[in-house]
Amino acid sequence: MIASTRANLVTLVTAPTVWALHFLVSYTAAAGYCAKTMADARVMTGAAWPDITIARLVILAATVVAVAIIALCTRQAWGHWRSGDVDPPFDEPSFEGRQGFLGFATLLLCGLSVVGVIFVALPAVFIGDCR
Amino acid sequence: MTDAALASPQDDPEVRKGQEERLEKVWETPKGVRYWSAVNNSEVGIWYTATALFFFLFAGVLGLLIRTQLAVPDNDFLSATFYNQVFTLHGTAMMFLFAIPIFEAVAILILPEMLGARDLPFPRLSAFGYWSFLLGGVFVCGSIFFNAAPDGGWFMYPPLTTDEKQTGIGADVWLLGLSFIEVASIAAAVELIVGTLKCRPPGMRINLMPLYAWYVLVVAGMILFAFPPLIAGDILFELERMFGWPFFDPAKGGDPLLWQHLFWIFGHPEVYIIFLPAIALLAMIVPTFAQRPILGYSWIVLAAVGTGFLSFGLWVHHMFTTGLPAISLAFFSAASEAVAIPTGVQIFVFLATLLAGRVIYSVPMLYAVGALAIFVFGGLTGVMVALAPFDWQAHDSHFVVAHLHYTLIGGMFFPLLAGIYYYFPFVMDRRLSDRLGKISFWLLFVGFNVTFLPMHITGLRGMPRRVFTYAEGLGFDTLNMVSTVGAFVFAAGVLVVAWDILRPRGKEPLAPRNVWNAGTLEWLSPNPGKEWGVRTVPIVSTRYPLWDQPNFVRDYDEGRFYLPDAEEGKRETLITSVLDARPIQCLRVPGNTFITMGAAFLTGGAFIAATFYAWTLTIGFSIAALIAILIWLWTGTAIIPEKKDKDVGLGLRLPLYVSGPDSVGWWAMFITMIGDMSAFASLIFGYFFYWTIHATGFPPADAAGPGLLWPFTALVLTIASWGAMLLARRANAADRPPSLRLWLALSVVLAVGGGAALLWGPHTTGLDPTSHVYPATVWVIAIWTAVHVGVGVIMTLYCLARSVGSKLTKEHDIDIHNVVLFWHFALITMAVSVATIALFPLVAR
Amino acid sequence: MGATIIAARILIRLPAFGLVALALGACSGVQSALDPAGREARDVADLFWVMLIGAGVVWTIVLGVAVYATRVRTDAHEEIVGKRLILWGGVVFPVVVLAALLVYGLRLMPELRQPGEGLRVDVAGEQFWWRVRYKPLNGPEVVSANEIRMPVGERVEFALTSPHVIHAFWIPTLGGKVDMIPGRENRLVLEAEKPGTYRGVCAEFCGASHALMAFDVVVMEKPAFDAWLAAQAAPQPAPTGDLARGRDLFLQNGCGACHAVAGTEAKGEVGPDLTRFGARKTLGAGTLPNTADNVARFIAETDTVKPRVTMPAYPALPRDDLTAIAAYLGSLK
Repeated sequence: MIASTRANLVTLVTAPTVWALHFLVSYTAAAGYCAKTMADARVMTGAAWPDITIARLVILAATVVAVAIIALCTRQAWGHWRSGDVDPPFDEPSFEGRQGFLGFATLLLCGLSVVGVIFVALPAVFIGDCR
Repeated sequence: MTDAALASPQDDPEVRKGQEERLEKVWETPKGVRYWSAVNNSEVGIWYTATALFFFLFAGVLGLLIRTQLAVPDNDFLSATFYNQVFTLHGTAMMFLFAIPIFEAVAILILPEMLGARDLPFPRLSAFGYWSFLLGGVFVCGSIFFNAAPDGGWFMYPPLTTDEKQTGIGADVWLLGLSFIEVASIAAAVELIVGTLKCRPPGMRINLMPLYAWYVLVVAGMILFAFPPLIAGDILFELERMFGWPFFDPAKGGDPLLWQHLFWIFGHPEVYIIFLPAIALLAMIVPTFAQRPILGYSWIVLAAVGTGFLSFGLWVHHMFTTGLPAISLAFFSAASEAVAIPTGVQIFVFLATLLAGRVIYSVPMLYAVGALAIFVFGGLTGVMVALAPFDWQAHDSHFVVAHLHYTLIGGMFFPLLAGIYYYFPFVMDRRLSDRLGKISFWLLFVGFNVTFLPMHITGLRGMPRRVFTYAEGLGFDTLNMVSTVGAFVFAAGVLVVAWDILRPRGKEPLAPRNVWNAGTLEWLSPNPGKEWGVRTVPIVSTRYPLWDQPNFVRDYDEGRFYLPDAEEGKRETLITSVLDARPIQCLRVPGNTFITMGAAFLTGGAFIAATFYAWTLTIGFSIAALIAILIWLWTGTAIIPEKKDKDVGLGLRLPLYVSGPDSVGWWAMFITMIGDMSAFASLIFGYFFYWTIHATGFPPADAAGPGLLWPFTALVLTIASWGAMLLARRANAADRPPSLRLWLALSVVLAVGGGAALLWGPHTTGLDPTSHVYPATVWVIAIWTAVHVGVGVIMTLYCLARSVGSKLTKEHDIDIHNVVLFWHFALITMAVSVATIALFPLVAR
Repeated sequence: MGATIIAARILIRLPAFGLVALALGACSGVQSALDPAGREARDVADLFWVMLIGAGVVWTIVLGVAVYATRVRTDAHEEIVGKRLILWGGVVFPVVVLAALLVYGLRLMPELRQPGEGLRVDVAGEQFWWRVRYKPLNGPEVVSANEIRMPVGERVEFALTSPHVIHAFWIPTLGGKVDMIPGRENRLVLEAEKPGTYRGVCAEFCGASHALMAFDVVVMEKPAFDAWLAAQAAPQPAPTGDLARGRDLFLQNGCGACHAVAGTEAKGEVGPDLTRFGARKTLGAGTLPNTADNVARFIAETDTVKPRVTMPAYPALPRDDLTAIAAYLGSLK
């Protein structure tokens, strides 16, 4: 999380970066766990699949953290957007115009990222083993 | 500025005439053979575009061969083996030689003028990229005339393609030819990112940037993270093919799936790398023909950036049928559904803009609406195949062939044609024909749908992809015949467009200035355009200056902005700050030269010689290429200006030489190294991938590993070498050349020791890379790191030479700053390598 | 051209053509995913029809707006209309619909991967044919090739492997495909619902004759299947007369080095097992109908029929011998 009173390209991409890290953690936790437990004993036919409760807990924790960070991002972006006191389409050639634009675009990306995080967390709700 | 203009020298027509003559002379395109030494964006951009379109026609003919073969069941028009070369090359050429390069080509062509710049910051790099692309493309395509084309599919899955009995030299042609082109693509990405961030006109803050530039920024950024994994994969692949390192051989602990991961980590973002720049063209066309600003500028930025990120969470949806656990697949289903959201936003922004404007209907708009009709359909089938259960049926069937052509032709080819009809007057000063445009549109639109709509059904009826024939009576016969007929109608449409572009237009009048009444800077120049690109670098205060800034065109014509002159006879453009576009430097850009072409051909020679396993020749070409690149750097970069600063107009004095984070070279190095790190990360990913698929066998119980002593010696020496570089930079800042040279020399010695120590580790413990995937992986990480240290040594020696040659001094210190930046990354590489190969085995056991 | 005509033309062309073609083509197909004969395939086909209707509606609305905006109305709308369109059409609607679809798909995934119930069939993808091994819970293992028989109403588990290159095992009428990857063993469970003969294919590009790598799938009632499986283990009567000559030629020409025929000296494992060859409907992995003429042709010009196949061609064999071998192989039932 990059805290900054001024919006810039880094604050712009913070939320989607959080999405990417959440995705990576979720995928690595589940895929890594299943690969490792089923590796070298690949003849799985007939046997039950390993349970992935541990991975699901990791995903739950990652999701809580990710949503929290995106919430902070959103609050900061809201501040940037509102501080400039400018309205869309944010095309004034001024610091306020730039700040308002970046704040608003960041806000939108926060929204997309939070939807993305929730989507990516959903598999853990419906799938409980390595099948 | 109109106040300042009152007493401006620009009031005098004689002064202006003199300026224009000087500018014209400086930016003149060379004549005769020397024409090919041009590096200016307008020449390179046109060559690039024309070459990419030529490869499109070539790959299109291959597509027609495919459709002809599949017209009737049990056809013997093509042999099975030749058909496999044809479909492999069709996909390969369309993707690597048309769809990606055309983005770079069009961006190089239009971006500078859109940003009111005379050129991109590294014109010679663009030229190098172009010549590499041309040579690599001809090499890859030409192979089919010798029956030696790659025949393992454009995805090149091992073990089919690592088996030399089954796939001959074609696989090497693919791997080496395309690696060469990928390097050129990364070069273009660096150029475009720096161009977008640093070459905007004064006043064009980040919130005023044309949407096209936003897309270029996002796409070039994506290239930096998407292409390097493929290059890493290519390296592993060639090591297996040439030297038997068993990365993908399960008998020795390897796994073919690693290639699939690396390929698709590249391959899926690549689809968006193709799609976004084409949509970017629509983002310029729609406002022009709606005659109003885009409605929802921030939303487009959201869509572009959001798509850029989400597209990296999709790759496994190409691997839904590999038998991976459902939970692993499900994340990718989720992200594949999520990516439809920003894509949808993009489309609705266009619709909203059209609704809120008064639409002028024209050929570009016709193509834009056609693109929408096709792309939305492809997007919807994309939402379908994103669900793993449906994909288990659709995958590798003709349904997917239909889906991908709907997205690529609707999302890329039709928007590109809209762009060609729109930008043709900008490039060629004349309009394309409206009548031919309508004819070609309807041929293409109808032909396309007749070809690919039935293919959805063909696929769901069970026809797999990549089959050279099919049996009669399975329900494929009529549908395939219809598809083939459609393909030829589509081809007729392509011919009409080609004729329209190429036909002689002797007496046709020039298009009027700003023919579509657009609002953005690239339409500023009168027709015919001048070779200087822009008369003067304008000051911008709106998103659509041609619509909104009073007297803008007149002030521009009279040179009342920055850099109206070329007093010193040098090619110049303005460098501005990233967010607010404050002017910070007057950049002298290098001019025409043959050295870049030579460097590209020599580099290509090394790759081509390696294809034939001609090692002596490979080494010879590599050394020659290195020398050519060093000459290019020595003569063409960090040139010391004759004075410190200059008046760029309007009373503003700007430095001619800046270094460190203010300079474009520093940015280029930084961005290149980001790409380099993502290739390295892919190799490290490979190491841990192998660890996860082996319950206990990685590292194998009997393998010694590289030990701790030598890797840590390497790390310590590299840290010392890096420290010496920091001291060298400090000595230079303190203007002490002798101690600068001493530290540089010391750094070289330490670095050579560090690189050698890292290689000595696995050598001394007897790790045999052909015996098992573990030693192979350790070796490849060690070699990668050692090569980086080696490149650092060459750079350090270069600094030493520059210092001796008085080109590196206290005031003129670009080189040392950039090389130290490289060393930061080299040190990170070394530290991660040592932690992985030396420390991780202690934990893993 | 009038605006409305163009609008109508664009609106009608794609969905109308698509739906008509689908309606005509959805029935009859031994290889069609749209004509499901198994539980997994039926679930996916249902999913497809739901998505197709949804997609048709969305496409029509989006294109309707596009045509309206560009061709029909003449006045510019208020910006607020456009903003609402972006918010509701571009954001809210897709998020809701995609979330619902994702949940539908995610619930289906574990469903479609339930474990099998008893019979296990090992299938290995060779270049370019299928090695099949039945492993019933009780009873001996049965080896076969290029044909799969299974009982109706039972979840049969396939263990999929490949010794050389990647293939994919796909029976569209029964369910989705799964790759066969060297070094891995993948599981696939299919439950047939309708007896009949279907066709499976290789779906992953695997080399020159990828297109010629299919197999027949015979779904039988459970008692018939059990009887068939039991009969496979029983020895065959020794051939007599001309058929015996065919067998001798088969052995003399070294066919047994690669092919196995139970009860003879032919024990090769490189090529398909031919013990019950005569009972199969096709030869060369679904390449030709299994007739005596085709068998003779396949032996004489293997490489022409099936490019880059491992088996050498025997063009020098006299016509008589070919016929005799073909007759012998045809008698192995």
